[in-house]
Amino acid sequence: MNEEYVVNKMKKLEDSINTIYQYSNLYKRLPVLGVITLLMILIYFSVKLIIEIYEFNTLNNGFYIDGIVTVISFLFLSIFLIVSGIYINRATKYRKVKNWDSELNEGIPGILKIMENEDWEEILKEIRKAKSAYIFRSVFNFIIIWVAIGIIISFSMELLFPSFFTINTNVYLLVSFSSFIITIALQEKTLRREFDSLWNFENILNNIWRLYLEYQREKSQF
Amino acid sequence: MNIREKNHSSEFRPDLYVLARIIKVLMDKGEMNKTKLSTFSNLSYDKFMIYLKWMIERDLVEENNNVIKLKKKGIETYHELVEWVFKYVGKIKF
Repeated sequence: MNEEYVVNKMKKLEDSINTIYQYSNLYKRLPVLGVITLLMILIYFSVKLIIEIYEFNTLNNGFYIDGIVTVISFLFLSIFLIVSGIYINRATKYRKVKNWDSELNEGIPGILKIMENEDWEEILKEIRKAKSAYIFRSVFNFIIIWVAIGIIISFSMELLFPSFFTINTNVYLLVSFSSFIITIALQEKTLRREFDSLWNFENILNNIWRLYLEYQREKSQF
Repeated sequence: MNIREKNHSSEFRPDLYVLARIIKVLMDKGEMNKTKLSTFSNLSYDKFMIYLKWMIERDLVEENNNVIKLKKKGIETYHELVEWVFKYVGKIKF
């Protein structure tokens, strides 16, 4: 082991911490996402209510109105997922929050300077937040793909077999289940990678915690 | 200057990186006068003097006619810090 080796380890740690900040930033923005969700639900039900009132007042053909409601539902769901997806991607954009370049150019004294000056307890808090946000983002991405596949299957079936959805209410369940299975099959590698990344978060947390405690112990000897 | 450094030198707890930096300068460039050493260590003269006093008290360096020379214990201290970094930073797994 030499100085270059430990400097490279610190560069990797810097990169990991910057990745952690990507997700802890998302964690801070989750309330905004919650507001977007509530707004979308509110607008959706308002529109649905207006259509139903219109249908009641005009004694319109229910079948025709049901079609409009279905299209609007898909439209709202798609808009919501796209808007939320863009918001999440922007929130998790990589930013170099930590920059240890000048310290690491100093070698060993620079590493000790980082150990001394960084607020490790704060970083540990950020890791915990990042873990929650990472799980949320992974679940969200999975749902987007699941819904997208569900929509594709639904429209395909409707095109191939007109009135497909009027056969039985269990058809919806069948479409949901089959799109869920297809999503798992398509996302298998991504799911494994995300599970590994989550495990890596835990690993970094343990590493930093140990490093922090050992540094405090070493410092107390002087 | 932080509160810790304002205290009497016997209560003073050094920042390990400052300590390592001073010793490394002496190891790399050899003995030198106080002004030069504070400049190479990138420290203000006042802060440097606090560290120097502490290091002399602990037998890490010695002062002769304004020239600072590293002692065996000073080299051992630096190696101890290097070992610490190798042991704990080197073990980080990703």
